[in-house]
Amino acid sequence: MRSTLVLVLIALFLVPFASASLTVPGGYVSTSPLVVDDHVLIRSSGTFDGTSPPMVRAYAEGGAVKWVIEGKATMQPDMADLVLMPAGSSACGTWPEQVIIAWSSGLLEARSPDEGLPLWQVNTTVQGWGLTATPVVVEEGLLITTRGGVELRCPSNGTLLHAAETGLGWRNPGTMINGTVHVGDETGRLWSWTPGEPPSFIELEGAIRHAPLAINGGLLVHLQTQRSSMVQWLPLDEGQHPTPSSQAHRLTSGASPGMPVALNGTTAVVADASGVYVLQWTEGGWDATRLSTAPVQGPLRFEGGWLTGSVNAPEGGFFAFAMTSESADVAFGADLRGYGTAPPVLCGEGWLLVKDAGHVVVDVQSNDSSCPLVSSPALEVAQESVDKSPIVWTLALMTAFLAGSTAFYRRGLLSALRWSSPFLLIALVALMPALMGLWADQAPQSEGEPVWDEAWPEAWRGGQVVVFELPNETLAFGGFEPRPTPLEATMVAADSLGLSVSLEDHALGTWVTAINGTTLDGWVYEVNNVRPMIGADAYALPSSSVLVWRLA
Amino acid sequence: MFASVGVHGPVLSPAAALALDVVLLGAATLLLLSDKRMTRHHGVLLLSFVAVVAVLRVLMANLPNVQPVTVAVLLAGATLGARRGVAFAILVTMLSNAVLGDGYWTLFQAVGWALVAVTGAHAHLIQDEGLLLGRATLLAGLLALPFGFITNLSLLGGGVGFAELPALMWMGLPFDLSHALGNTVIMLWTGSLMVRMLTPVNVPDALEMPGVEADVHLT
Repeated sequence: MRSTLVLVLIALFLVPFASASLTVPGGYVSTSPLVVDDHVLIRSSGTFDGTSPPMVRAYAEGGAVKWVIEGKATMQPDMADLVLMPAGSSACGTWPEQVIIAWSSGLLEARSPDEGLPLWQVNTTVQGWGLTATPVVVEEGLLITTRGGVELRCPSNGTLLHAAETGLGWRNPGTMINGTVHVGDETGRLWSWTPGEPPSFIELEGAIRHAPLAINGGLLVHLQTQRSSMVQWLPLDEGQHPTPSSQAHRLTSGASPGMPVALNGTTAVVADASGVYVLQWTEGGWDATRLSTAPVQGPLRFEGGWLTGSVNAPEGGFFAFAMTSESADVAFGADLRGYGTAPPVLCGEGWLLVKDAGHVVVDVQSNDSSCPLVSSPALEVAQESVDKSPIVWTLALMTAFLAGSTAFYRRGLLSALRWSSPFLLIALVALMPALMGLWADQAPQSEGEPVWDEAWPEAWRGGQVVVFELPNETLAFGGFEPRPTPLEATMVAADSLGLSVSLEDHALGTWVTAINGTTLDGWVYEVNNVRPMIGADAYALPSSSVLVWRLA
Repeated sequence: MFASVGVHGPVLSPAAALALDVVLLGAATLLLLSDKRMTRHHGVLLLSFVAVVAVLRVLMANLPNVQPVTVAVLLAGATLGARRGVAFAILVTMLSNAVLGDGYWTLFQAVGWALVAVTGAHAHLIQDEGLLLGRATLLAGLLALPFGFITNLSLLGGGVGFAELPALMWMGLPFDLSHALGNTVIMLWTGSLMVRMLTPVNVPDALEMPGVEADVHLT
């Protein structure tokens, strides 16, 4: 009786720590969620029957969907991790904090993490399918592994800086060491490429489906062969090219290897169907320690001192082994089991657990509510940095010319102004598109209330509704998952209603020029009865809103 | 990324558009005829200048809000007086909008430039038949802001209400800046030339020349 009472009290005590859960619809969830400020981004791969496209959803407090973007359905599931790239700058430009999304359709795009607004999009080469490898942020830019090559792109706008052709690959990100990129392919070739130079390779046996790890001045690869796998360490020569591994640094392993992770410069963790192993590099070979017998076929993750992974089995759970003395192994309270490859990720003081079937659980480890899915965190949203380069250029032009015009200063201030003003005007005109982008972001936006039509289904209430006021009829569509921009919501609604939408890309944004073939004087949109002063591809559409398109 | 396509004020019916044009043209004609100092020579000079400035406006339409009209109107007001300056403003607006697009906004542009002309007439920009360039440049730059405000008012109605006005003004500020800077450049480089072109020639001398018809007062 007393023990029952104790159990009840413990249960009551744990109620505040109870884990939050949700189910992501529309296909497998094979990649780890990405925690960004006050929401969590989760990618789903789409369904094989084509009923649901691949998507990225932003979940907020209580599992509310903040926004959704969708990709083009392909024969290849979308399994590249979402990458949060911090704001920065390089010779090719500056960029704000952005989420990099690689799609199997070949589309590579950057979006603002908070609102999901597109920052830039580029198409990459497709050979059967497009991007399956997680983009890698390196000092030189964004390292992208395409189906048959590797590219270095500018994080500011996605521009291609350098590219090289390699062999056909799958889920094979590159690794950059001392300016040289190393990437494997399906035939076992380990390519080395210094941007600007032709690539070279060393032939190995088995498929390489992970980013090579930098271990002790060499590369660790876990090669997948038909019934087993092989871990090899290949020392790098002076030219940063891998050389054949010694017999001592080859280790035969189990079938279906996962994606290894480096713990430090000499230690890596590999996994396969037979378990998880810590490999310590020594002169005489590998010092191997088995951490677990659970099969792991997906990526391993090393975060906050914990090694995490998902057990890929019918009753498979998760693990989070403490790899430092400061922390202890994690015992997950949530009973989430099944096939899956996405490792748990830290979310506040809890862990986000995901399985292939789309079940997501926040395993709360303490009385902490900083994980966005559990409750609303009182976090200050960092001010989004903006691309200041055009302004810098213009200021530089101004300064340069004003310095030049001081020569005219002897003839008076008016003369200096006379000679400098044309150049200032040229600079302003050249800067206008960029300036308008910045300006539009700061524009005061009046927000109205959704205007509800009683004829609409009740299920649409509280969500986004798109209304097309065509010349002869008015069509409405709602009940879909919220989209980040009016343009994306419009495309979803138009697709569902069978309407065509013509778009034109201009330097200042995307314009809707015709809906269902009707052009006339153009189309304008209103959100909750208020007409935004920025384009439909740049306005942050509230998750509960009525978007109306009508002729100008 | 502003939505410039389709953002405009109320759409006028053909009859209303015609009425607006008639009213504006009538106002310009009345202003010219009521000016006692107006001669045929002045009329020809004025209309020629209207044509030149209208063509310039059309040619510079691709530059964001760089408006040669503002400077020309300001100087027309300064040299020819308020009445002819306002008539000049109305005629340039109508003529250039015949190419760039006529509508409800023509009224606001005409009013905006008419106020610029009136300002020019009262700002003492001419001294000893010469242009006070510094003062004229400053005024040309500053007048871009009230002109922008007046023309933005034309967007009210037709789906844009007072609630959107602050955002509208905000979005227009870079263009007002461009307008101001354009005015500065145009005034500094062509202001004196424009004044010389607009200043009436001492035509009565022609009476003394055999074979040259004397200028005739219109009234």
